[in-house]
Amino acid sequence: MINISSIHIERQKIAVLNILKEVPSNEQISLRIISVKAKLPKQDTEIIIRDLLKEFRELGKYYELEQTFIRLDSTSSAIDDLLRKYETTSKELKN
Amino acid sequence: MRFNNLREKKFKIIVLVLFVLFLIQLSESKIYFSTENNKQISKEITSDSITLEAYWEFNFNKTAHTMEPTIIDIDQDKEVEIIINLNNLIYCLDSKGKIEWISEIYSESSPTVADLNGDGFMEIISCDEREISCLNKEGKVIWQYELGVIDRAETYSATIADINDDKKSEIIIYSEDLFCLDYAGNIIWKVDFEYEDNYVFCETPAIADINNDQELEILIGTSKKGIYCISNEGDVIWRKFSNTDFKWCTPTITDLENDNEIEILISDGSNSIYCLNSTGDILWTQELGSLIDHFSQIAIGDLDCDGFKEIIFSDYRLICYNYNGSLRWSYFDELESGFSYNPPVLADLNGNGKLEIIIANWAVLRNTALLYCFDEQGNVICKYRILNDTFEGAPTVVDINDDDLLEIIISTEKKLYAFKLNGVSNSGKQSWYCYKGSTFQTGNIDSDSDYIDDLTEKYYQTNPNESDTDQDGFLDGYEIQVGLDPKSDDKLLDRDGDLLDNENEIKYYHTSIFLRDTDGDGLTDGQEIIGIGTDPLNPDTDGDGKNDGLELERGTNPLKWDNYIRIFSVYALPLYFIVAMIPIIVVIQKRVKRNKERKVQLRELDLENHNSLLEECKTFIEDKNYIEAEKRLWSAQVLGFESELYNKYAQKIHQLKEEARKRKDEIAEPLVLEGEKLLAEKKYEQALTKLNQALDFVPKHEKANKLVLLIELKLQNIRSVLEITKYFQPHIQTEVERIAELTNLTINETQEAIEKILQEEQIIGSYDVKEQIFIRSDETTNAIDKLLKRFFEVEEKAQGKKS
Repeated sequence: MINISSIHIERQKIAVLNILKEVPSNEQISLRIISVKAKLPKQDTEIIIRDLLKEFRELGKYYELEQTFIRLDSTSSAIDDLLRKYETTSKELKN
Repeated sequence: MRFNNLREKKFKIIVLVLFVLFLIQLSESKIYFSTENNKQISKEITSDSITLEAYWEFNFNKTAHTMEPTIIDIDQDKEVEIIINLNNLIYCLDSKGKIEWISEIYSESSPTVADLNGDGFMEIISCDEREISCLNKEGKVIWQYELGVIDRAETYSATIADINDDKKSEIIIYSEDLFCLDYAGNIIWKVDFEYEDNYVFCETPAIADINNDQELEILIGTSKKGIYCISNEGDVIWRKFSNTDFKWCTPTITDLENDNEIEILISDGSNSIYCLNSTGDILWTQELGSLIDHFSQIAIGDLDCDGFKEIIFSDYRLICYNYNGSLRWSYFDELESGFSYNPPVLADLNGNGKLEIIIANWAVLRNTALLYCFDEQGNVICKYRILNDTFEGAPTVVDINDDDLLEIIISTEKKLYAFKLNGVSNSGKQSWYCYKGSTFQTGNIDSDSDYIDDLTEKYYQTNPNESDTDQDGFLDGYEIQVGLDPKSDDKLLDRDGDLLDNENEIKYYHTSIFLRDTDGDGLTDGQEIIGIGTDPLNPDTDGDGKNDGLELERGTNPLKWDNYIRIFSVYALPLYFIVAMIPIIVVIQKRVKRNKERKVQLRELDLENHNSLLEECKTFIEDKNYIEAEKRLWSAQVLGFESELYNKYAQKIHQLKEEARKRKDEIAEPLVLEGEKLLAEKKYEQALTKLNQALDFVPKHEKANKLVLLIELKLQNIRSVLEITKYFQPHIQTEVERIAELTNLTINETQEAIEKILQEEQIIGSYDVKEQIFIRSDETTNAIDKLLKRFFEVEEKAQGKKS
């Protein structure tokens, strides 16, 4: 049986990661801008960011009160790995 | 040409002959209503031995509609009374023409009078189209009966007779339906003539034993429904002329042919007189040829004492027929024509044993009232003329002053006259002396003037030529009415068994001969008169509130005012209360007086205070201290005095207040404007200071208050932003949108607040206006707290000032 919800979450994570990948290191970006670019609701985006940070702490830092995200240095390859992982999982789930 | 002349001459001769013939015809027919029977016209006055003179006159003081008077002794005071309908009110006059009473009931008929309840006094029956009223001898209503007919009937007089032989009189009246009431006004029966929507002309019914069955029948000529003969129980015996459209006069019932069979004389109101037999079949008819519609009652009497009655009738003429219907004579006054509807009456005025005819004329053309007296041959024996007046109805001929001479009582539109006869030493009988023959209006002849007509006398087997058949001192008619036997001397009998004979009851005590206890006090009339001495007509002779019979039963004296309970309750008790109340009243009066004095003293003190307060007020006004002046004035007002001085000071205080207000406005306005300007520059504290200054002068300054409120709101916004800023991480960007979200403010409000914060304490952080991003600096908590405290104080200040 296909878990449509899981596929959807994987896709959202992929969308957010693709945005974060583009953010320069040590640059601050607001949750609003990430959600606009990822074409996701603000609340969903915030949940995705929290999930991503749980999986990969070195990805950056998220300030919840200010709703601001800062990407740390040398995380591009790690983001790519994550992207690949999610895409594979997504495909698997789809199949 | 010659031929033409001849023809012309012939034509002229013919015209001339025709003209002469026309003149002859005109001279012969100068009486417009000439008929074949009317051969004897314009009789000469053959006797001037009798003259009429007004005995008295009762002046109406206005033109009035009157009807035939009824004359009878209604109160047994040995003097007759004259009862007459005058302008729809019943008047009772004494025999000298003075008013005794006027009844308040509305009446449209000639009154009929009879002793209905046998108390020795006469009752008066009067009617209009809605009700029948029974009045006592003082004109007070005893009872009234609602006819309950639709308001389209013209009601005439009632007829009174004992139709069911119960020794009490019944009242018969025709008003759309025929009603029979008992003496107390209760309906016995009613005949419905089934009128629908046409207007009904109602005449008085006649009563007699028509078919010799020893029971009285009622004869009525109804409006357009024919003539009815109705039994004494209200059943129709026969009906004639049912298909005609006639209106009938009251029938006259008599035995014309002296054959012990009655004949009925009736006129259809315009053209004919009919003589009917007892079954309603026509015996003979006389065409009248009248051109006027009238309802004169037919009078009958043996004018010449030949044993046969003559029939006297009036239309525009006075006509006398023999008993068999042949014309005896007729009279027409060619100069003063028109007897109209006034019926004739018959009486022996001059005592010659023959009846004279008295009739009121109506000289239309000359507006003159004429009263004629004719002898039995139709000769005018006297004539009385009243200019500019009109006779109303028939005369009544009776002896009103007990001088053995008859008087003629008749009304005109302006006066009621009583005429006396001059040149006459004594008068004789009056057999048809009033409207419809007799007082009870039965439509029959009353030869012996005993209040009962001859036919009814026959029914009761009394002598029609003897007014008191049994010689017991009571007239036959009266005896029959009150339930006595007119054929035997029953004056000494005691009909009701109260130990009083009938004569004494009727003549002297006026108690009822039907009731043992007339006044209903539990004692018989005899007991009261003979035994105790109390008044049989008053249940409480001594007027002490206790019934005579009850007093006797309880052992008190019915002749003495001895109702001690009444004395106690009516007099003693109230007196006791009054006496007992005197000391209390005195004490109350003293207290009231003392209170009044105290009040006066207090009032004087108050006045002094009032004046001194006003003095103080005046001083404050002079010092322009209107607040203190107003306080004094209020205090002075509370004391309840009003003076010119008070009003004057109130006015002055008002002026002072106005002046002060103006001054304040002048000062406050620039301060408010300045405050507004500073607010625009976001200099909230300075703005608040200015506005507060303005509010000091004018606390209710609308604009200043609004601006203070605005500042307060802005300060609240700043405080909200500052509060959240405290928790931001240094150097981390926060979008204005996020701050607005956290503080529940709009983006503009948030921006404004951030700008104001940075304006006051730049150290707190930085703000990128373009990106709308705020970044907090390092270690700024103290600065934020300091600012928070400052704005809190300002805000408090603002809250305290605003109104």
